[in-house]
Amino acid sequence: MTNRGSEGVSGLGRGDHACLVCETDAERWSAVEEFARAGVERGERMLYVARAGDEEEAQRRLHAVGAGGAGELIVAPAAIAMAYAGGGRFDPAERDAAWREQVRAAVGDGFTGLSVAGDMAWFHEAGLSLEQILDYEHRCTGVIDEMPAAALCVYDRNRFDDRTLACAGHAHPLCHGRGVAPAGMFVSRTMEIAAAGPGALRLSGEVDISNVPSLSSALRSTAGGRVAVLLDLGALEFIDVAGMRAIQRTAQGLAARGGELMVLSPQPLVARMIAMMGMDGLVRTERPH
Amino acid sequence: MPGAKLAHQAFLYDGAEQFAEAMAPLVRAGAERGDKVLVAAKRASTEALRAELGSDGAAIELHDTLEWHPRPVHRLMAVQRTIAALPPDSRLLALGEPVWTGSAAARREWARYESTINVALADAPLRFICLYDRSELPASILGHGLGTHPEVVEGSVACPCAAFESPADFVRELDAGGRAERGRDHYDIPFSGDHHAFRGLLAGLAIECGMSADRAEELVLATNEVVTNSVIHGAPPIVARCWVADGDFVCEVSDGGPGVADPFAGWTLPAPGAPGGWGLAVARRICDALEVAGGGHDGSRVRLYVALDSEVALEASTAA
Repeated sequence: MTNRGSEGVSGLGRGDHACLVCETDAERWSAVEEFARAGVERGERMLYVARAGDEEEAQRRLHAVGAGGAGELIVAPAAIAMAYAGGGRFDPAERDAAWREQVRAAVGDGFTGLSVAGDMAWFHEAGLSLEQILDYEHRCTGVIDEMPAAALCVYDRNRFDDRTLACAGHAHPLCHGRGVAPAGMFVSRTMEIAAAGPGALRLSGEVDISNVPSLSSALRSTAGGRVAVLLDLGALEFIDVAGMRAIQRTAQGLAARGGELMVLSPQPLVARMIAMMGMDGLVRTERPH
Repeated sequence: MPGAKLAHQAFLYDGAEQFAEAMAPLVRAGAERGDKVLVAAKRASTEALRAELGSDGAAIELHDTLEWHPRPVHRLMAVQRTIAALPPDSRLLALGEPVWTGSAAARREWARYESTINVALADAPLRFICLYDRSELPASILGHGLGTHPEVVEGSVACPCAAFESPADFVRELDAGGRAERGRDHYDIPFSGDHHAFRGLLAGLAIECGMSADRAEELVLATNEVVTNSVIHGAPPIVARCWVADGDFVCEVSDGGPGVADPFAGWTLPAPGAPGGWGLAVARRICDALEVAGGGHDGSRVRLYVALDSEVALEASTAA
């Protein structure tokens, strides 16, 4: 995941799967319009998954940026997205297949590919679990990697909690939006701490007493003002007890204000350290596929 | 709770049948009083007890000592968890048999466990009867059994044990014992200040000696903690001297500092907010034995023992 901070979405192109964390309608529409204009220029079909009640405005705005030819613009009401998740039967694998079919259909109709922008409010309304969101977004990245497509997933900060934003941001290869820390937060000879979405950090390399103060300060600044932090440990090769204690303190601080620290993909020994140090009730461990 | 104090007793028995005959009435009486009854003993002993108890044994938890938390610190934590889960105002009657099949260092760790119970579980509503099979065990282990229990079970009564030693003295003496076992061939890894390089050298050495990569990763974590303690609390030079003895990979980390003062270091997990004690707690949960010794002008010495054929320390723990 690369954080683009408040940089615009104009650099996005085919093969990108980006997350935008926005706060206002103006921010949201400006990003969606910019994304659509670029897609139309590439000769792609534009598909927009609208928020309930937004369908007409989406039609008007996307027409205005040039997405108006025959079959060029599809505004899918959120109700359709909701139906995907209907009856508690949301199946990320089935959605994976459906998106592939949509890309093939766009190409079959003579477009060069498919650009999808989506207001992700339906995630929230459908009550998807974090595992489902992570799984779904990771699968979307796979579809976009393999097919002529691009996607912009818009997360309204006012509609999602920190926990979901951290996970969703983390699940995208690119993340835009204010409050998303810049990439490459800290690099030492043996460890790298990278921002991986709003409230999300990815650790790689080896953490020990020589660099644990940097980890502590990155955790402090990431947890500040939030109730959820996501820590991706999948690429972490070693962490000592002092490093685990820094994570433990952060988790205690979050728990004290009703929040939570999520640990993603810990290596087996790290998972055993969590248990050995009695932290299994304090952090929540996620293992996406 | 008044009267909730630990009763820690040794029972020296002669074979499974005699064990079952002697313990069945105690177990029955405990169960009738509403005590939780937990037994971890040699398979032959648990089977004999099960036969002796008949239908009265239904509510008793019986485990094979080789399978139920077979590392001492994990056994202690399992007992602590059992006590924490007791209904209010009830007691635990535990019959426990240490595992004497490991290396000399692993047997010392079991003796340390026996002595540490007197401290770690001092206020627990627990009668802990520890089992020593006289028909099999050498005098040295029977001696440790008497030195670690304030009482012995004789027939149906418990009598004071004259050989009982103060746990702190007993553990310090045991900790010193491992020094004499140093192999003739050893390999020194001096700590130069580079933890990353140190870990790489130690992992390579342990794997070369025949340890699995997963277990070596744990040994490296545990040793890294001891070295970190030396950096923070000790004084240079810091050296890890490694050798193989009795099937164990042994790593002795020495420094010029005062050493670890607490003879019971690492047995009980620190309270969640506690600033110190975590490194040795994790090290003890990983190793098959851990000895903290030295101090004074001898310098600090911490010995970590990991059996070359041992499995990873998988067990979860909970704070006591």
